[in-house]
Amino acid sequence: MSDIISQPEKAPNSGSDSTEIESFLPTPDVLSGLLGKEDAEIFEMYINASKRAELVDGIMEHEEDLCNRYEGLDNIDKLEMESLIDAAGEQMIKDPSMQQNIHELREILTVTRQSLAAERQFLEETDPNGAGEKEAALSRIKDSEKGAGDKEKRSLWKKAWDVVTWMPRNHPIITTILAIAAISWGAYVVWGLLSEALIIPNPMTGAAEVAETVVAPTGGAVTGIPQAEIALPNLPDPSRGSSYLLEPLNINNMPPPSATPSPPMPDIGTPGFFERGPL
Amino acid sequence: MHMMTELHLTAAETKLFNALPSELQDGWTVVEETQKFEDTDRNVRTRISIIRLKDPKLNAFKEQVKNAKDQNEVANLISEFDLQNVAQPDLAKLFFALGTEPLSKIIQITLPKATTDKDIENVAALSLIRNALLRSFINNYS
Repeated sequence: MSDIISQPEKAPNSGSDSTEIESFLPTPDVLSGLLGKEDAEIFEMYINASKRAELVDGIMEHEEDLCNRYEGLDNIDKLEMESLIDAAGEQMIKDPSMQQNIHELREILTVTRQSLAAERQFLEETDPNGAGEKEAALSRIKDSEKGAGDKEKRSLWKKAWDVVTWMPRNHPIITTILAIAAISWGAYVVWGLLSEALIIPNPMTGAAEVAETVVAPTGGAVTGIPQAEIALPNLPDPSRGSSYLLEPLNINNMPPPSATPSPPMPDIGTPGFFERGPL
Repeated sequence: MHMMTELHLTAAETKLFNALPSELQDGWTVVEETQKFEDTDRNVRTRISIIRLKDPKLNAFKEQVKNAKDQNEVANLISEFDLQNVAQPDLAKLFFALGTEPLSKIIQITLPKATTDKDIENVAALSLIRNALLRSFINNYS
């Protein structure tokens, strides 16, 4: 990815002489001017997944122009642009007014860009095969000692991922990351199920009569994920005690319908339940 | 294969480790985790939104989840799924989306319950992953 924090001579369509440092972000106002299209047409391209590629292609065709316009911008990463256009398009589908709310959209795209960069760094660092940076590393590392260190690091990560892979199914991290996967597929109800993986004794009872009590992530306040937001899986406070038991998800421990939070947890089977939602 | 012998633990977690029986502590070196990062809901939502999983086993699981009749069936599917043969890059993507705070909570509740060297090894792996996550978050979220 290019680090494209820059200070353009004049931000496209900014309409001001602001000296605020801006990076290139593919917002509708910028692309409308760049591609010479009406706002409505640009909006249609954002919200139509099959047309987003045309936006990306248009940006790439103007790469040199953009690099000249945005100081410090050396190149445009096409994959990053695809992700940013996707993010912007999904936001506009959820909230068409976002087309006009450029400030908010820029914030969303900025976080998306940061997340993409963070993901890339994490994946590269933890890749036991060193994929992506392997060739660069080979050409860069002449020092055999440093090369040995890199090999050792890769070996360490191979071991770490092997350990994760072979963790028992009832380990909370397994349930948690599977819940994350399901949520990414649109099954928001799974966030509520996450709480059921952790069985914590009631701290008010004696050790000999510990009752295994299902504690929801927030101490019982929330067991489902509202369609409007995804909260962190606020797992139990360790200060409550260490004598917990980890058990696999137990459907018999599922909260009754009356225990569902407000707003109500959507039912599986409801049209759109599994559609990508309000992330 | 490299021997994983280090635990990247915060000061509070180190106290939990030091309270374990000495035979469980043997052979492990605690490296203090000093990195700090405060995640946000927007970061989490964004990370989840950019997940793109390619692993065939996970994609088959996805179809099962999508075809589940109710939440109980989803719960069963999750409880029956294991990570064996799941591609490492997809595992890494899921940890990345999860973030550091839930990982810390899980380390904090599993560490005191450790009874075997394997349990400590699990914590070591999670703490190593958290260490890399913290670095990537601190470097890129500003």
